[in-house]
Amino acid sequence: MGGEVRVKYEIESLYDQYAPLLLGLCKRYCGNIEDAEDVLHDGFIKIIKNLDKFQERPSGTFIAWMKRIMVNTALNHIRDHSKERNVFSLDPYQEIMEMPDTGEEAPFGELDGVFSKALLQEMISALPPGYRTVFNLYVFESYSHKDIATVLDCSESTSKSQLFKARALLKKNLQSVLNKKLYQNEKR
Amino acid sequence: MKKDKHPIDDFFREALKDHEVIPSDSARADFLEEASMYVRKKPFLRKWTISLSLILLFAILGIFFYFTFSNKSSKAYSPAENNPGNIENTSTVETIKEDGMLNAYPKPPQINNLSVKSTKVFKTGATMVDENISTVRKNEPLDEIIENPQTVTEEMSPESGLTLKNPEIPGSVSDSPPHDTLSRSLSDLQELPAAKPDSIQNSIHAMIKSGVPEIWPEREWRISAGLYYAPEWMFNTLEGTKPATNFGIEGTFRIGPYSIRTGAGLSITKGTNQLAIEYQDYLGSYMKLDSMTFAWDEQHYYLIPTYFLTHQDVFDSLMKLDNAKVIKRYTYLQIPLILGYDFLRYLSSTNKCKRV
Repeated sequence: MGGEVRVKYEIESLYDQYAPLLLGLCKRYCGNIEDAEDVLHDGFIKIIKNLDKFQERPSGTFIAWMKRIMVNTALNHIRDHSKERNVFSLDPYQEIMEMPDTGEEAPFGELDGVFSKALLQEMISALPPGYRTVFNLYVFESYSHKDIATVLDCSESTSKSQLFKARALLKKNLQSVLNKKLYQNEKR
Repeated sequence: MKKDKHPIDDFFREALKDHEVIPSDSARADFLEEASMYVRKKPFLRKWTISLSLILLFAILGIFFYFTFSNKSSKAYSPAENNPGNIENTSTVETIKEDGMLNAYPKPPQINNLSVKSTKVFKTGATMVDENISTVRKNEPLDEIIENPQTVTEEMSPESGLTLKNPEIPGSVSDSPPHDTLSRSLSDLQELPAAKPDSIQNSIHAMIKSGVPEIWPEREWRISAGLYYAPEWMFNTLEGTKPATNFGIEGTFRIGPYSIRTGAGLSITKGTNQLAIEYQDYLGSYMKLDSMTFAWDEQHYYLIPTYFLTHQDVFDSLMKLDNAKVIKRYTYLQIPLILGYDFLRYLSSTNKCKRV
């Protein structure tokens, strides 16, 4: 009985320690907090069930292992709900011409502090599901287009096009927010 | 594969690297409730541990009692006595109690020495003893006498009234009724040549080593029961090594050389099924219009349409692939029924009989 209480306590403390970080990850994939909490719930249950399988590794790997489980759970969730949400609504055969990304026009590195994390999170959440998934996998999980194509069961060119459009949309949103702020500052 | 760098990617990656969102209390409560259900499942393992421990305990106790009582029974009964036909002649002793002690019975008729006149010991398959002159002290267990050569001396007393009917052989197995033919007439034995003590010792030890042969009596039956636990490891290419646990209870009924073994056991193991399913989502259905006809209603100047529809199911054009891995626990009930016949024992017994 004492062991059971101890295990419960450990699970609780594990949840309290890592749930906020993992919920941030889930929200990036799901777009809304309700789905993100569902994914967090399922993912954490998987983590608890498979804790025995996780062998001791150097510190830092545990969080990566949990993140990987969360990402997989989120992808499953997106797949399961793709019908009603129309996740991959873009024509999978639509290919776009690769446009050179010079990166000259947006020195975003200098904008730290201008945008809050919540706002940036919202921007990602506001992306269409297909864009959002590809963007998350490519940027945050460092997947290659080939890996993304395998995971999402689409072509590499579809992955590239969705990433391109996601970037374009995000850039547009960033600029509009920036313009608003500049306008407000000028007004003052 | 080299990944292209983009400032937006870097910006978002850095900004949201450690972004945290606090989960709602309800989500936390839901999770902890489900996690506690998972924790409660763990006693299942403890139940198995207790079951296995109990089986092991019973098995050890069973072995202990088996050996304890089987030793007692082997002391109490003399196999040779059960089969008088096996023994042509034996040492002579007046009284032998069932516990293997020589005793003065009913009140010591001054039996301090046990004299063995002359004996010929014929045991089926055993060495024949030609001569024997020995003295066995009163109240001395025969086992000790057999094992201790000093108890046998060359004092010979033809007048002694004791008849050593059948020196008990420790470790021998017999299921026949206790001896009632302990004494045999001395006159039968007096004609036989005497044996040397050493040769008696040697022959008895030889009999002990070779085992006392046994011929099945006409009616002999036994029932024995036991618990068993048998771990098992299966090797297959898909799942590697897979353990299986077998345990149960079984009983054996023996009658003569025949035996029936039966019982009930459980075999528990786990198996994995993996399925790869390719499918298209079902999106719904509609009534497809195949054709329509019109009839002219002259009274109302109206066209009356007739629609011919068929039911159509609609599936998503996107093919999906699901990998399902199902872990199943298999529990088998085993009820063995084994009919047996003890060929070796029976054949060896009959061969020894033939030799005699």
